[in-house]
Amino acid sequence: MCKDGNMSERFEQATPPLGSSLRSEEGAMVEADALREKIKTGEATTYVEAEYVLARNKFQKKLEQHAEAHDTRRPKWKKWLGISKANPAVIGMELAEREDLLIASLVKSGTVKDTVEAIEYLERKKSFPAKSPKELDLEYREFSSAGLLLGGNMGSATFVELKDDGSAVYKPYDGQDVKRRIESIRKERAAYLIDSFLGFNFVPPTIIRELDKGIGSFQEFVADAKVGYEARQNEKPDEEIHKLRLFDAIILNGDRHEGNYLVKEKKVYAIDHGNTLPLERLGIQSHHLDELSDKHPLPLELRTGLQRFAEWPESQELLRDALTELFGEKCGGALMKRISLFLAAIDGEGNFCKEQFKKGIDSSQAELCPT
Amino acid sequence: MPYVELYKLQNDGSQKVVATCRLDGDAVRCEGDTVLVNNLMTGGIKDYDNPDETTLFFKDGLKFLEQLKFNFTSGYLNASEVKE
Repeated sequence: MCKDGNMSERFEQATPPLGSSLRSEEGAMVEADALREKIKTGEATTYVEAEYVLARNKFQKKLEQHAEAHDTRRPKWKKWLGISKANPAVIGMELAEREDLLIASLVKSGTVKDTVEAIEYLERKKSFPAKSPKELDLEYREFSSAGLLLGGNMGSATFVELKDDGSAVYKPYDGQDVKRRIESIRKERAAYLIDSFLGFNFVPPTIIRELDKGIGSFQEFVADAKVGYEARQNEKPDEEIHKLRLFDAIILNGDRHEGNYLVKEKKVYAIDHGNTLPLERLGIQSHHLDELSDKHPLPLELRTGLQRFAEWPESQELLRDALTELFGEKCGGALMKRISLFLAAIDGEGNFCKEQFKKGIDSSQAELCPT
Repeated sequence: MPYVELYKLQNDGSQKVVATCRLDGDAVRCEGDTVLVNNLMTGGIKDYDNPDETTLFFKDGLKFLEQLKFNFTSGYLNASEVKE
């Protein structure tokens, strides 16, 4: 019998203390333009350096204001203001200083009780950035080559080698009609977001990027991986497969088969999510749960990830914003509700209670089915 | 004789034919990577034309061949159209 948990209560009651300051996808695009501009103008030679330049510029403005108000610290600020080129070491110092200011403002505003709590708060915030370095890499890195792939029915899928390091699979879904195509691309991105925010860590970093065939999903390539069909039974770890069923239950993936997951060194990677998240049917259960026991113990790292998500309102807001941007407010909200029902089905001992999740889905059908 | 090739994406972006499935009489016969062929034979593939999501096996012949390209779309393992 599953015991009551409070993960979902924390999820539902939490409100974001700094929600307005979060970096949205639109904000990221603006920032991307700013980064490109810095490289164009020669102020930076790489995107990483450009980020430092931007951070320095932003910080310099704050420093100027701050210096006026605090004359005693002025010499130090002036020294920094004299820097003409981006210097990671100095910027690092500046960022540390900025963190001090943030900590002070968090305590002052009453968002947190004391500096210890403020540091924890900032650490958690760092764990949920709007875009990870991998995503930014996929988004900004230039290509060294791109080759159209043979086979499949998803149109012009392409293998792309990124300049300097890494490669990706680009899928524009141009074999489908426009509406379905856009949806499939967004679903690929949404599946990655849900996966990484909840801590499943199955889906390789996936963004939306424009190539010659238009926008498409752009997913990090996993080298040396076997597709499920190529792997022997003993190469597929049970624990990972069970975990994958839970993930599929959240994203309502009725399309998981041996062809759309990868195995590499006993780790599973989930791919091919263009056919998941049926937005008009979010209120249905998932047959992927059938093979799990009624009370399924969650692996510690997943439990930790879910708990962190449930306790951290800012990450919930980030995910909600990202899903809303992809699917609109109603569907974004419905997806978040489905996630909250999943969290509500985890008992105090960290077991996933299948029946509780099913009951929650059944009782919330109307709310979960956007029309 | 109708056949379908399965292409595996390599680390350098090239693709290698890892299995070929041919219609042999009324049934399908696949040759190539033994684990892959064995898993196709025992587990079958999904029938995307059927709303009840039935599973297709070698015995289903041409239908099996036609559905391969809908099952292998990830890029990592792709199936060709049915070739003659």
